[in-house]
Amino acid sequence: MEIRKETDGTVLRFTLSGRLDTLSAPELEKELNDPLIRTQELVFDMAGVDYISSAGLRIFLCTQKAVSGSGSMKLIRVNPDVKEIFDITGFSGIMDIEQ
Amino acid sequence: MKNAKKIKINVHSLRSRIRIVILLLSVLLIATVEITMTRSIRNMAEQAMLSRMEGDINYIKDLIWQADHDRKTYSGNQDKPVAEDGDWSIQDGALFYGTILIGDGTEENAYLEPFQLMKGRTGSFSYTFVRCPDEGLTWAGDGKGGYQQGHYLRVAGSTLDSEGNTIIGTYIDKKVADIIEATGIYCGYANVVGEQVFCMYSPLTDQNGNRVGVIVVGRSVEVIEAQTRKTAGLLFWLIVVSVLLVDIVLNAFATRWIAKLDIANHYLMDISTGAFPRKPLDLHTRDELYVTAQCINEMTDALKEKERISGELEAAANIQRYMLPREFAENEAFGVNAFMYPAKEVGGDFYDFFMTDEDHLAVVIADVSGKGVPAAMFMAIAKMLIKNHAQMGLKPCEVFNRANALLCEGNETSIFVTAWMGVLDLRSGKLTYVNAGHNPPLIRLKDGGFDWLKSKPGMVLAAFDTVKYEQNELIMSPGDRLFLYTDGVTEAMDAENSLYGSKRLKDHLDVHGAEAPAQVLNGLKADIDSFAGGQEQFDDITMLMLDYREKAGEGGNCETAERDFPAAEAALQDAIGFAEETLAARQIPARILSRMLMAVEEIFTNIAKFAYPGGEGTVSLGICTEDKTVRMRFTDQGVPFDPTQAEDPDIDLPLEQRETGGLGIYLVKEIMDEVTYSRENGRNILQMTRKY
Repeated sequence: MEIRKETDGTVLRFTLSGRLDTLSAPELEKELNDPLIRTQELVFDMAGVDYISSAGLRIFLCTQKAVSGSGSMKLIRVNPDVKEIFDITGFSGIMDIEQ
Repeated sequence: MKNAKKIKINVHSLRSRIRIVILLLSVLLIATVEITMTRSIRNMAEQAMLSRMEGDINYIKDLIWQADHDRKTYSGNQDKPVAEDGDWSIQDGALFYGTILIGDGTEENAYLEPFQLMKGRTGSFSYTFVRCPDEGLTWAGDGKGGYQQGHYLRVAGSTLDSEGNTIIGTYIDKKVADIIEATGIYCGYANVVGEQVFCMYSPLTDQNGNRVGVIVVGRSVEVIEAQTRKTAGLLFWLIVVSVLLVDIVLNAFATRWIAKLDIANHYLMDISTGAFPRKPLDLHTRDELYVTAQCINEMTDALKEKERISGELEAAANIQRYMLPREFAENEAFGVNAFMYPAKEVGGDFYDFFMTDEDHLAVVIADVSGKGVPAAMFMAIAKMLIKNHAQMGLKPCEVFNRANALLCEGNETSIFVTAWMGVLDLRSGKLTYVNAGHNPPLIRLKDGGFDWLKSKPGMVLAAFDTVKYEQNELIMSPGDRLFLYTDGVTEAMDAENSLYGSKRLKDHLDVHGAEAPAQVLNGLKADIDSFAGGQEQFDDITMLMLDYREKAGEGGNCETAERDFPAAEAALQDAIGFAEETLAARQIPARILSRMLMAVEEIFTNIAKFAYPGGEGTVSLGICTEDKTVRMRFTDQGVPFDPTQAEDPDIDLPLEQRETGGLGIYLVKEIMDEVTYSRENGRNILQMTRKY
């Protein structure tokens, strides 16, 4: 799992690549554990993510809950295969997901 | 109808009886008529005789008168006193006609015995009697004397005694004499001069009106009797001929009526053997027999209608029988055999078995309350509803929920159905079953004995539309057997009304339960029959045996790759690697592969986290692919946990209410076509399949 983090004005952009699974999820979780995240405009570039498991989903759900009301969160360039997982779990309804 | 016995009758008895009665009545009639008529005929003959005799007497008196006249003319003896006609007297004990001495033996007076002439003229005979005078007769006596006053003696001028004297002969019959003395006249039977005759007496009176004698005219009784016999004989033959004519006519009528009865009888005999004549019965009459024929025709129509209905009922019973599958399954994976033995007519029991998809076999047994056509119709509906819903792929409890709701619709008759359904996953051996008030089946697990597969039974079907059924699960292993039955089995009765019972059933199955399914069922039926001892059973006897033989997908083509891993997150990578390698080698499409790996990751992580709290253990992962299906199986010896029972997260909740847990298992259920769990021998076995 590769995580690249860059700030672009008010936007905090994470560019992810690789597998977001049980093993790699804690890595991303650590990055997002910062309380300051809550007020940011978060953008996750998912173009490089070809696999996501429930561990990854859980991180996005927790993050979405954290930013809700104070900041924002958006997933862009989501791989169709991964998007399907978001759809199955109903995440598409509560998150801003772009393909 | 077809079994009706041919009625044995003596078709001629009525006809013979009528003939005998006619004959007897005729004889009686002839005898009565003959007896009464003979008397009348005799009377008539007597009357005729009397009038003739009256004529004879008058003729005799005329003759006497003529003779007197002639004598006067002839003899020229004018000086002698001439009596008036019929002026009879007795002087000095002798009879005189006027002055003529009767019977004095002289030639001159001899012809005054004119009565002899009568025989030549009318066939009558005649005699003259004189009344004995007050003083005894002295003349021409026979020398015997002894006359009594009032006696009448016959005058027989030509009768001589032994000494050649003319005698006044015989006494008149005393009885007759008395009557004549009283009335002066007598008609009837009497003994005259020693002969029984029918006669008439006419008095002779002198000029003073005194009775001095009588003239008797008579005929032999024989004559009357001959005449009577002749007339009666004629009458007899006349009556016989008339009666015979009447008999012939009556007999002809009777024969005609009986012939019509015969026609009606043959018509009825045909009907009784089930052969309905095409034409209605017509006896060609307008009398009572016409009513009979009409009634027979109406009855025939009613019977035809009944026959038609019973034929339709038979057809209905056949349809019902054919609704039950009779091509039994015998293959490597399983064997099913079943039968329903209806107690009477159309019953309400049914069994069913069918595949709901390639891997799932459903077995159903049910008993509809009641009997006859209503139960049969309900049975057909229940069977179709259960099968339809099961083949839609619904869970067994849901199948019963929906079938129940539909059966409740408009079920005014309060018919209900007890039913048991199990759906066996042939790959995993998982049996999911639901019970709607039916007696639980018997199951034999692992070479053990049979035992009841008890579960909390739900409400019977078709009673309350709001009932929610619960399903239970159990894992069957190859070699396990399931026996379904209706209460007709355990409630089969012998002559003493004792029941076959559960114990006999279990005992029989424990001994014979390992035989081929068909053999088990036949053996059990034979056992029930020998128990019942020919007693007719009141309930249908229905049973079904399922023999689970081999897990589909485990033999033949399914090459299973299996490996054990430590149940720890550290081994996750290895497990995923193993799965990836195995599946890639079998040319699984990348997208499916990715999904399978996700499932491996989720399940493996779960087991690693929760299966062995505070300890170490292993988890085994088996993977096989067959017929474009991936099957994976996780086995661990950790704490019992059935992920399939875990509540799914509600994915429609808003963000704030969303749980962050439970996603993994939910994902797996969504990814895989089927996930089944079982606990066997202290192991959790989780199997999942996915077609591609």
